[in-house]
Amino acid sequence: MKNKLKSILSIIVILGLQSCSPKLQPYSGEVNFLYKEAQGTIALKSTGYGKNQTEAVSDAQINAFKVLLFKGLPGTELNVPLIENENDAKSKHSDYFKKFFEQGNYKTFMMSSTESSNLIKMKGTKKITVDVKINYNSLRKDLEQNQLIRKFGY
Amino acid sequence: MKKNKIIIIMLLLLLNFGGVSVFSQNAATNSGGQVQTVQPKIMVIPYTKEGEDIRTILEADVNKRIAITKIKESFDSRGFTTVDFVAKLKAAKDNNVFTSDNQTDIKTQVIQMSGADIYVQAEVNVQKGQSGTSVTLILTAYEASTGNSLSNKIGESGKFFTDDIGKLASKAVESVAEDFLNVMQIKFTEIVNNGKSVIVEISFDASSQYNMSSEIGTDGLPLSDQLEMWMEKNAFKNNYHIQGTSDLKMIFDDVKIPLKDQASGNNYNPNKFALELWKFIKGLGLQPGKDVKGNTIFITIK
Repeated sequence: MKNKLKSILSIIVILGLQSCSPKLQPYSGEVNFLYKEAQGTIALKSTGYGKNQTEAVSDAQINAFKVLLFKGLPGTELNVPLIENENDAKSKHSDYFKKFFEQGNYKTFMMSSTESSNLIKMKGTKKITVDVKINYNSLRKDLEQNQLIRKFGY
Repeated sequence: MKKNKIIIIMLLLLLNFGGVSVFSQNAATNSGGQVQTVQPKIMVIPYTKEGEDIRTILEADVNKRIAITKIKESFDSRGFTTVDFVAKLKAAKDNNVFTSDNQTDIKTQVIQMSGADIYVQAEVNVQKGQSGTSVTLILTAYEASTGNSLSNKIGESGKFFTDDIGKLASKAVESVAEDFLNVMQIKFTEIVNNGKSVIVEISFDASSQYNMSSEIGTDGLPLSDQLEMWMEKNAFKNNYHIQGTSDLKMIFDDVKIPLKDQASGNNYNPNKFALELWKFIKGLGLQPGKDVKGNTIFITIK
C-alpha cells in the first residue's frame, strides 16, 4: 500500500517538474498575403485563437507580426524574415519584445485590423480570422534604431 | 654649459613629441574612439549591348532614366546613398577620362573611376502587344572587383493599355526592389561575418632575378609556398582561393579580409592588408612594390 502511494507521488512530482520546464511558445503560421497597396505596407490574413474574441483577435494580430519578423512570407517582397535569427534576437533583446508583444507596441505599426470571420467555437478554444495591414517600413526602421537588425549595408 | 644641456634636452623632447604627433589624432577630427563602418559604394548603371553608346542611350531614353532613378529611390528609402552614374559620367567627360572609342570600355572606365565597390545593372525591356503594354526589368548586383553576384531579380509591370512606359518601368521596379535589396542585405551580412573579397596578384619586375620557384627565407622554401603559407595564416577565417600559380605570377582571386581590424576595432581595408603582405615579402629579403586599385592588390617583386 505504502509502495503504491510512493510511486503515485513520485509520478505526480515528475509530471509537475516537467510542466515547470521552459517551453518555446509556438505561434500559428496561419498567415497569408492579402494585397499590397502602397510601398512599405502589406495586408495579411491571419488566424488567431483564444478564450474570447478579444484574446483571439490580438493573437491573430501578434501572429501576423511574428510571421513577418521571424518567418517571412513566401511569394511576397518580404519572403525573407525581417529578423535573421529569432532565438538570438529574443535572448538579446527580451525587453524590446516584451514591450512589443505584451505591452502592445506592435499596434503602432498596424494601419488597420478588420475581423474577416465570425468567432468559431472549437474544442477548448475559439478561432477568428483577421485582416491586418502593417506598415513594415516603419517597423524595419524601429528594428534598426533599436539595433535588432543592421541598417542596409555593412 | 648647463643651459646648453637643458636646451638640447628640450629640443630632443620636442623632436620626440613631433614624431608622435605624426600619427596622433587631430583634435578637430577626434571622435572619442567612435568607429563608423565604411559602407560600400554602390552605383546603378543601365544595361548596354555591345557597341552601344551608354551616354546616348541614357540621354535619349527617359524610361531608362526613370527606372534608374526609381532603383536609387529604393536605396534611399533604406537610408543608403548611391553614387550617381550620370554625375560621374559628366565628371568623366569634363575630365576627359574617356580615351577609347570603344563604348563598352566607357562603362568600365566610369565604374573604375567612380570607385564603386558594387554596381547594380538595370535592363529595361518594353513589350507591346494587342493585349497591352508591359515592361520587364532585369536587375543584377555585382561586386565590381571580383564579379561576385550579390542579387538578381526580374520585375514585371503587368500588362496595361497605356503608352506611359515610365510609369510601367516604375511599377516593374516596385515589384522587385524590396526583395532585391533584402537579398543584397543577406549577402552583406555574409560579408560582415566572413569578410569581403579582395584579389591579390603577385608578379615580378622584368629585371627581377627571382621567380615563384626561387628558394627564399631561412627555411629555403619556394616563394609560392611561402606566399601561400602566409595567406593561410592571414586570410580572414583562413578563407582564400588560388586561381593559379606560374613561375612568373601567382593569383589569389578571392581572399577574404575582415571589415574591421580584429585587434583595434577600426575599419580595415585592402590597403592595410597589402601593407602586411608587403612587410612579409620585404622580411624575406626581397624588394616588393605595391599598388592597390579598389579591391585588387598588385605586388611586383623587383
